[in-house]
Amino acid sequence: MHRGNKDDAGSSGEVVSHSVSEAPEEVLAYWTPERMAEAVPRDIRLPDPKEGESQAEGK
Amino acid sequence: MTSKKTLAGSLLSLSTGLLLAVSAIGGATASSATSQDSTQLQVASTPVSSPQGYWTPERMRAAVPGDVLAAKAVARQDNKGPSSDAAVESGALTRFAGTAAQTTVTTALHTNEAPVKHIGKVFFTLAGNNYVCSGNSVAARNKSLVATAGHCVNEGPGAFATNWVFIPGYVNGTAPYGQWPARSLHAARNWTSGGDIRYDTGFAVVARVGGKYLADVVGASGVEFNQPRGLTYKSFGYPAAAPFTGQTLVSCTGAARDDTINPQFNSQGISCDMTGGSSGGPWFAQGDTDAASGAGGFQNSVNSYGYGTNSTTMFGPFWGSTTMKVYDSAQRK
Repeated sequence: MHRGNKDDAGSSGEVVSHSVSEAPEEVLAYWTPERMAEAVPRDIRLPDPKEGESQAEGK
Repeated sequence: MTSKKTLAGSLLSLSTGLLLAVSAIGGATASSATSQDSTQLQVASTPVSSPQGYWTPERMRAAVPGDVLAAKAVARQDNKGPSSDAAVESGALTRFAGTAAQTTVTTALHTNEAPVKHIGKVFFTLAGNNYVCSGNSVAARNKSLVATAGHCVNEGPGAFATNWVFIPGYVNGTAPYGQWPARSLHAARNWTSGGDIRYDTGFAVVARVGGKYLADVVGASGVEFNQPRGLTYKSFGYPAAAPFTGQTLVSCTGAARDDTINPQFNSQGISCDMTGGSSGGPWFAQGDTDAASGAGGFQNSVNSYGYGTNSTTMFGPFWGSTTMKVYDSAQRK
């Protein structure tokens, strides 16, 4: 049985829920056009085995 | 005589040019040459190092038109009189096929889309860094739910994001339907504690804006879970990494195939060249009618990951029972 904590109060065994601490107004104030423009894409790129093979052949 | 002299001069130029190149590469070893040698080498090497080689602009301008030479040849033949029939060659009709120039053909694996009200960009902070992803408003009891990737709400494993906001219908820096800050973030424990990519799905419950609920303003997609594998999907997102700019909506369409590189991920992939920033964008299973297809369909996954630096397949997690529990928990908050 999962015990909830500060970060995941209200969570069950398989699900984790997190209450946001910032007020909505604070979040809106944080995101200036400049910060949005500079935000970095967060993506997952795993190593491609084929690219590894081609690099090895090139050596 | 003249031609021999020219050839000799050319060879000299070539050899000295090579020497100059070696000297230049050798650096310190060339310092033993006298100043006179250096001067001669520089002058002699000029034609060889010229980028146009023999055909300088001056020589091209001075070149004689070929038809002048042809006219001279005709005149010579006229002086000799007509040739005999035996001297004229004959044979079977022969031809040699031409070839096309080699070109690099790249086929775009995406389609540019007009903005869709319920699909948008997501901005958030993780470990002090500001990030951007994509998301979609989905049907929920609280009428305030956004579906995105797990890695767009939580480090996986690790902390949840801060400053999380959803901008539906985003286009070229504008927020035509407002900005919707999150009240709470939700993900599977397998993601928040284990970073298990099979559960790379997250949900955000957003605050009301101007007293209104998100779903009442932009609508909300239906969702479905435990669907058959191999369906045809249309995915949407705001790719921001090159060559995209993240300013407009993009889609990919294709039949889902299993991840053969890491089949244990249980995910499916469609042909797609969207880049970073599209993470968390919705996948819609194609329905039987136009109204039930594309962005009007039921959401069944999100943009999750790709392989390599030039990925041509976008993979999404299989939405099974665990993801359904996360959704069900979040929609009640």
